[in-house]
Amino acid sequence: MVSSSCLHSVLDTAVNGIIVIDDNGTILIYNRACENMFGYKSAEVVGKNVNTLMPSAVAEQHDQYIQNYLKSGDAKVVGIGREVVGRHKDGTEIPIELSVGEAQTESGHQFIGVLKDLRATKEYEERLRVLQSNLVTMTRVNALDEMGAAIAHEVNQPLTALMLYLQTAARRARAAEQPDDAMISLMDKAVVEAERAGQIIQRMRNFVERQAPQCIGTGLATLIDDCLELVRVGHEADDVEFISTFVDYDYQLELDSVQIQQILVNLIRNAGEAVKDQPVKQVVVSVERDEDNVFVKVTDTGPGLDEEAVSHLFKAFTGTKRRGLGIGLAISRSIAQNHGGDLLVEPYEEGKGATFTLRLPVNSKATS
Amino acid sequence: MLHLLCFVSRATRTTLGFVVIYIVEDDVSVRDAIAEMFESLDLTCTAFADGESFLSDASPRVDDTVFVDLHLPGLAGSDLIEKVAALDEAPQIVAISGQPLWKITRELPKISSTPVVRKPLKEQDLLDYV
Repeated sequence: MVSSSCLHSVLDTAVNGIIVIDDNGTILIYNRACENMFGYKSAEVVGKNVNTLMPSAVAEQHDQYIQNYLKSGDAKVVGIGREVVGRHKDGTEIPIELSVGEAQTESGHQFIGVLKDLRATKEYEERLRVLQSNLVTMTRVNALDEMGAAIAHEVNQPLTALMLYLQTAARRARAAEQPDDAMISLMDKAVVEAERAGQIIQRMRNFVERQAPQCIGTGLATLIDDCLELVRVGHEADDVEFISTFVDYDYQLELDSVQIQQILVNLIRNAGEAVKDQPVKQVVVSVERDEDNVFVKVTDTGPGLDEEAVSHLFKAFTGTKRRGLGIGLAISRSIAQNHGGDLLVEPYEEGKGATFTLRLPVNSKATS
Repeated sequence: MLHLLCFVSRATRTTLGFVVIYIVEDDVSVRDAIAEMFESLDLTCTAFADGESFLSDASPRVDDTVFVDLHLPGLAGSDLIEKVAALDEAPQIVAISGQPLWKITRELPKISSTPVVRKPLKEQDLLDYV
């Protein structure tokens, strides 16, 4: 036989909220975890109807739910459990995972509810979702930027040559002893069209160049943790170990966190892929600092990258993956350089995995 | 004859062939187009595909103009500009670039006082400097 004081101590030790009600919905037991969850003290709610703890829409129906169950035995929550919404003393709604059991006692039919506060979990999920969607948007924008810049640069050369050839030819046509007016008019029209093409390229370039990094003070350690968390989500099945050794949570750096995150997630994800079939599956993110720079290193226990592989690594459209364009590293490097830093791969060492180093200047400012 | 030149305007000397325009540009077509353009204006023009050959073969003088593409194989355009600007009686130097702005900006510390012309360019963009 368990003493009543022992029972109370058990109730108050429980991490989850525990509520016991009678068949009228009156609260008989309300433990300490509930006090934290709902903001009401035990003395405020014991003896009251449990619907005090519910948003009004549900509260109105709750007594009826109990009666329905007692009459029909048709369980909606008893023995099943579900996600429900509770109401805090201050009126805010709380997501709760609720499981309900029942007991026949001397004093009548009683229901026991165990409540798990989902606020932290929800917030965490929401944060991760926002991080992920930012990252996807950024990746798209950057891929477009990179394409735009590449096209602008590649087309610039022939366009410059074309324009100068046309202008020179037009001048020569004018200087001829018997100028051919029709020819001169055609040449002038061609020059105008070449100019138009040039303006399109310039507009495209201006658009890309407007998007300078948004640099704000960011906690580097938290940023790295977030990146590892994002990658872990995709690696739940294989037992790859993702570790950060940087724990200086006060250390702040001026950078565009979404863009830098994109680089790190890209590096960590690649590293995770590289170690998937290795006996030791480990990805370590470490940080080194000197006076002018911060070096964020991503090291894996994969097979490493030989010189041949390294030479193609940062070129667009040379990826070895079945999916993707192979522009991830090219873009990552551009972003790093846009921050005044760089992205490098450490030289190959027999029997060691690959290490990528992201260098960021300490006073990381956008160069544009 | 030489002392007479002092009274002739620089533009006139340019067309007389006493002033040389140098082009250092790795893209064959751009290099050729620029050279054709200057030659059609009776300007003396010598073109190079990279910085190394320019340094070994050209001897630019103070009245000459050197157009340097920032994006060169081997010796970088900005390093070439730095070397040429350090010459006694350095010629006028103009940088040309088809690169995005941030890449150009990165080179700026080295080429501080050099004007930069961005591609795509028209003949007037180059003629402004000769």
